[in-house]
Amino acid sequence: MTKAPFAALEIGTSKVCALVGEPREDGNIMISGVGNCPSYGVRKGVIVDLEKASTCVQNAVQEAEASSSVSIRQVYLLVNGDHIRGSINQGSVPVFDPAKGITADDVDDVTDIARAINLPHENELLHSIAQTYAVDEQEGIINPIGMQGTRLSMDMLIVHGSRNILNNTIKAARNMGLEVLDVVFSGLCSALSTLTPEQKECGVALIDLGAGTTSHVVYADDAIADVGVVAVGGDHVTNDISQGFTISLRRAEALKQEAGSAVIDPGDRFRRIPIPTEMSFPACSVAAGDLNAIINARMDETLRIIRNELEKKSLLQEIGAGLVLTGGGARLKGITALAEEIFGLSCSIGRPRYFGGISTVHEGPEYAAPLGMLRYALQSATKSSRESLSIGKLIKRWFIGQ
Amino acid sequence: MNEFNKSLPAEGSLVVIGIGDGGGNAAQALARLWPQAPRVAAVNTDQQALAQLDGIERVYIGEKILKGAGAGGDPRLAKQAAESDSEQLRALFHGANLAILAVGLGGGTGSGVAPFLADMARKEGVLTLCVAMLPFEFEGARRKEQAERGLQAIRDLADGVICLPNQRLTALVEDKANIQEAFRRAEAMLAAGICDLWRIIGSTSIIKFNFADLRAFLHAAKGNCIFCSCEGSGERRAEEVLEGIERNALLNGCQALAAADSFAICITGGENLSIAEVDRLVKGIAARGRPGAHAITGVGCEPGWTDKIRVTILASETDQELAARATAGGRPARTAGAKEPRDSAREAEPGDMVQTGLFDAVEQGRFKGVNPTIIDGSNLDIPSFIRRRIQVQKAKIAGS
Repeated sequence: MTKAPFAALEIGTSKVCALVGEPREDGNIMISGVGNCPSYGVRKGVIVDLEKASTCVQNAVQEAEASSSVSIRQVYLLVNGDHIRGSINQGSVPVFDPAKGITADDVDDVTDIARAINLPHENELLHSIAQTYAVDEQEGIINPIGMQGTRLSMDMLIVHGSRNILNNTIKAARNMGLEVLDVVFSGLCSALSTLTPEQKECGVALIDLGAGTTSHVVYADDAIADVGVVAVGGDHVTNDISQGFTISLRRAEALKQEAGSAVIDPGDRFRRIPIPTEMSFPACSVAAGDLNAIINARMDETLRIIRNELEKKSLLQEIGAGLVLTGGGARLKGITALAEEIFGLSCSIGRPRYFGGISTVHEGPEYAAPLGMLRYALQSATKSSRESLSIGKLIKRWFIGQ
Repeated sequence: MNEFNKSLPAEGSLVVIGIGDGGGNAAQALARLWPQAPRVAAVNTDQQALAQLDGIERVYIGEKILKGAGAGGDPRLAKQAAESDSEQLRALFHGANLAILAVGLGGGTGSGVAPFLADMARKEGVLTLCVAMLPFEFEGARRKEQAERGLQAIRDLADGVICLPNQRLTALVEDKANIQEAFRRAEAMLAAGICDLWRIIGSTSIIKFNFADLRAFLHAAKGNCIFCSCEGSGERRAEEVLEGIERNALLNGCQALAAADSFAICITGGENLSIAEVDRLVKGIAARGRPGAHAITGVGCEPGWTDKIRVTILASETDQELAARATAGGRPARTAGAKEPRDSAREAEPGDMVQTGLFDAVEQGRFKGVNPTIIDGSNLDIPSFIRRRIQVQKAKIAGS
């Protein structure tokens, strides 16, 4: 039996990426097509110019079609931006027949109640992810079926985002004649492609260092315990460098990628980095110490924001397997050392697992999210429609007019 | 108590008119706070409410129509009342160059009469600045809607509008404070704000921005303007003020400041107000705002004050294009404006050495025009190294 290929589309801040993946018998996914287009009209993970973004979508999709010889009509769409929030909602129901114990029906009931959160009216539910159950006073129950009790409660992590912003992202794909099958928060996708079952069980924090946003997903006790997005990313680093040295954004970006480091080496103080002539800009040089001080200030701040958030939610002590970094920012020199210092946890770069095919794609941390989306697509196609992440059905409802 | 100088600015004279119950009470509070105020009047359709005020001019309107009973929350009735007594109202503007209308929107008289007066003032050639309180949420949807409609009408007619959304005050008053107290608090803030503004526009200021600047600022803000005042005393008074600003509920924990495209800062102190303090205050406030925000600063002196200083901030959400036009139009004599064609709205008030340079901080660069990322009151779009005060050398041209 051969399964049809899937396409994932990510309209990111620095690039629009379309991937085509074909499921294999062994459960791996073979990457058969990739299309990348530098992104225009996206800031901090959110579309600010729909027309430009749509054009980029078209370019990326066409490139992916050409390289895979697959015609892309349907896509799984990744979404991002700091409008996306995670909050815990608790639901509670009386057990239908306490004498008999808790049944699957009771669990269904409490799931519905826990999912029925009162969101701000401009927001839309993206994902509802079951945490743990409580039976009467006893908390932290993984599977309550068969247990005795009178009251069943459950914690649900609700991931939600601004309906308008989500619709705009969907619109960028639909404008180019693509059908959107499902919408998934990109941080969850990065977790899907890189984290191992062992890490999830021990507790792990994934930090996705994107160009426009920095998002995190925390697993505790094998369940997603928290997600969050800060609208600060690699773009900010580049902008900081550009302003600090008064050089163009292009030069700043090149400087960051080629010579930048997130940690300050005292030996760099007097080392100067030459910047070659470019167009009408004359050749110049900057101090390596200054460059790294600028990058360090930004990365230190961003990581500390996340650390403080996890600390506030008492999640730091749940992270036994350390940190995993993904996204283009994970390529920044010294970033793992800085993260280890700030969190006091071991830190590694996330490598997408169980993918084959075009190797530059499946080995790079910047493809973690779209790769994870392919994995998600495969799972939702094979699993029953009760898969807790799926919101495919909702899309039609939100999207007003085609 | 010689809090305010008697002399009026050379540009003309002022009349403050409180409209409706809330506006009347604010006018009364103002008159108490500022005994030498040029001319303070209250206008109301409710004879009883008006009778409770003292020491200010009282104009009772609509006797023929309403028989002294008030407008009953109907702005149309209130407007008819104003029309029937328009001669009395017109007299208020005699000899005035600037009228400040203080009004609590939401009820009948405020929402109905304020646009009428703004229109009249305009026809009389008097500049109008309207300081409006928006209703508390507990006042209900109808008053809210009426207030919004009134505000829209005033925006179209007045030269400038400043809003004080009362709802934000609930964070300032303690839970046990009764409703009466909440209203008094709002009215007192309104009065104090008017005083501060006038002090800066008026002749007692050391560094002043004139009404044209204020108008350009308010115009650019399109009436979406919020204000707050903070006081400090003792050795750490400047720091106290900055801390007060940080905590201020009206500014939403500095969020409003960080999101504002332009702001006006009015600093008032006694004769011992030092340049270092002014510098600290302006820098401190600028650091909490967004880079490249358009700012005007004024410093006023109250000789009677020995210890305290007071800062009033007007912060706005500005339409970029409008701001540029307003700035360009408001200051035709400015030549330095040509220096920075990229962002004329960023230019500070001419002639004041204190301000130029302070706000000449940073470009928004890539994030210009995008919603700023604000966490815990700091604007993360401003480079971290600048906020952390890390010194960085600009790129050196090779061979030089």
